[in-house]
Amino acid sequence: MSVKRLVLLLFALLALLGVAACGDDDDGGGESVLTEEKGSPAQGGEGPVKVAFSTPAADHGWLKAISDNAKQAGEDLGEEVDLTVNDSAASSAEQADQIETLIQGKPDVLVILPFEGEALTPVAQKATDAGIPVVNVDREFSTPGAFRTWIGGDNYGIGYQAGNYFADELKCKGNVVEIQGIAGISVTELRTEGFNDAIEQRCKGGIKVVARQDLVLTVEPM
Amino acid sequence: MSTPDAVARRRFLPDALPGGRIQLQEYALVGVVLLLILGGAVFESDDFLTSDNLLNVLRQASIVGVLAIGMTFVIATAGIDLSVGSMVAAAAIAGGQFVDSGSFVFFLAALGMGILLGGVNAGAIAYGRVPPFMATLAMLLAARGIALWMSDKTPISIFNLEGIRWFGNGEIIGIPSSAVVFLAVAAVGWILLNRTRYGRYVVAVGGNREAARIAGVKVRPIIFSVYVLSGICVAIAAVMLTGRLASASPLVGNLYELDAIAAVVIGGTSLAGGRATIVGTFLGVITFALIFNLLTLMGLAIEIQQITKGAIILAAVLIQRRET
Repeated sequence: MSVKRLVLLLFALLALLGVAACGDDDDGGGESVLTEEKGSPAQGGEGPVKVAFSTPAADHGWLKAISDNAKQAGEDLGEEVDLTVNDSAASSAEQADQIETLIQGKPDVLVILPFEGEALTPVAQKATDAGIPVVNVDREFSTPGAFRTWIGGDNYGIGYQAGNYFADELKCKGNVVEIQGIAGISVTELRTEGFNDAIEQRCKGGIKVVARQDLVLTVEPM
Repeated sequence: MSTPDAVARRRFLPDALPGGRIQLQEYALVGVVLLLILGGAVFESDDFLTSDNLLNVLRQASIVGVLAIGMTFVIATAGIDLSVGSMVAAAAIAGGQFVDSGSFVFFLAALGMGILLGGVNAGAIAYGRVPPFMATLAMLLAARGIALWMSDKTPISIFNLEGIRWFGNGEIIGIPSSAVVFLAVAAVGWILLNRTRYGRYVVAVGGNREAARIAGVKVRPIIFSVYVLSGICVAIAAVMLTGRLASASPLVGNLYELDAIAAVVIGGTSLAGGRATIVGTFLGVITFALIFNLLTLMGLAIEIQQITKGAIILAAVLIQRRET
């Protein structure tokens, strides 16, 4: 009987532990929370700006850099900004759930780097409809009405320049194998398009893409 | 003379064993849920205790929840279904093949794929005598492969299928539609398990297959049916998920089976079969959803949720052990 009670107590404590104390965040050591001045909502221009940032779990260096630098910027801005970073979503569905929860916090601005642009468009639309300005980073949402601003690289240009490079190096003759990152997102599609356009325009069929394979961006031993 | 039904009723009544073994577990789980809600109220009151957020929790729980209801029946027969996550992807992509034919056809296609794959599991396990672990492990791999192959690894946009999108994201008198679907499936599951002869047979088969067979219960069709049931739940979950994301992706559903199994186990259903509770499963699903919600509100890493989940599962099984 007492063992059972003990286990019950332990498991209740564990549940509490799982939701226990947020941020001892002073050294910001890799923890994904950075909230300062919680409970002082920005009202009409006064007080810190409440920023919520949602990004997928970093499965490669670039994403991790985005997340780390965002947290650093939050720290640097100090009193002016109340930043919450969610960077542990491992799938579109999880990220959608997280963003929905972030919306509850009524941030002044919601920044989203979506796992898949298309899959997260509905929830971005929901945030926009709720009056929260949405900033779309990198992978584009599929409807322009779902966000206010887009920040990202010129992916078409990147692809195009790659195409130019190949045209120069191969002197417009040769076979090319394309290995893509994540299929179906705007980044990948624009780069492929740019590349194809460049080699078409420069070489008019001299360079052929003989195979195309997409992989998800994780490194796995074969 | 004892009819199979009477035998089952005497021995294997779910949810009401003498001494209330399952009931204690359910009360413990209710306690945990209350504790979590309390924790949320204390630490994050302005964001957590709003009706919007609590409805969100219900909505977020609904996809795994529907899978867990089907899983309850499977586990009640002492079986297991490791393939539900991959089957969700396969069902979603199957529906996506008909994206130009409207929401209803999408739904039918997803349902068809769910029943088909569930049926393959069912046949292998019930009639092929393949152990459930192996059969569904094989399906886990095969279904994912089917999803990736049929979709050419690219997500299919279903932006224009208003009906499906409503299923995932809509509302009925202010309550999210996926939450309503989850509650409906849970209600049907509860009635099936506790108020029909079929439910009693399922638990009887899980509790003691030989005894059930000798008593006249048709064991193989029962086992066959629970995997098909699981397949139907998969299809419903797939439609909900696709609706939510407005996109059928072959990568969805990864590890959902583990979430479903975890919820069923902590709810009190025994992995060895013979004991099952839908209420417990429901509470289990809500528990995990609450943890996820609280961690997100606090901006904590989701990995903590996994650690907590693991700890809770261990504790839950330990409690079950002591009671047996």
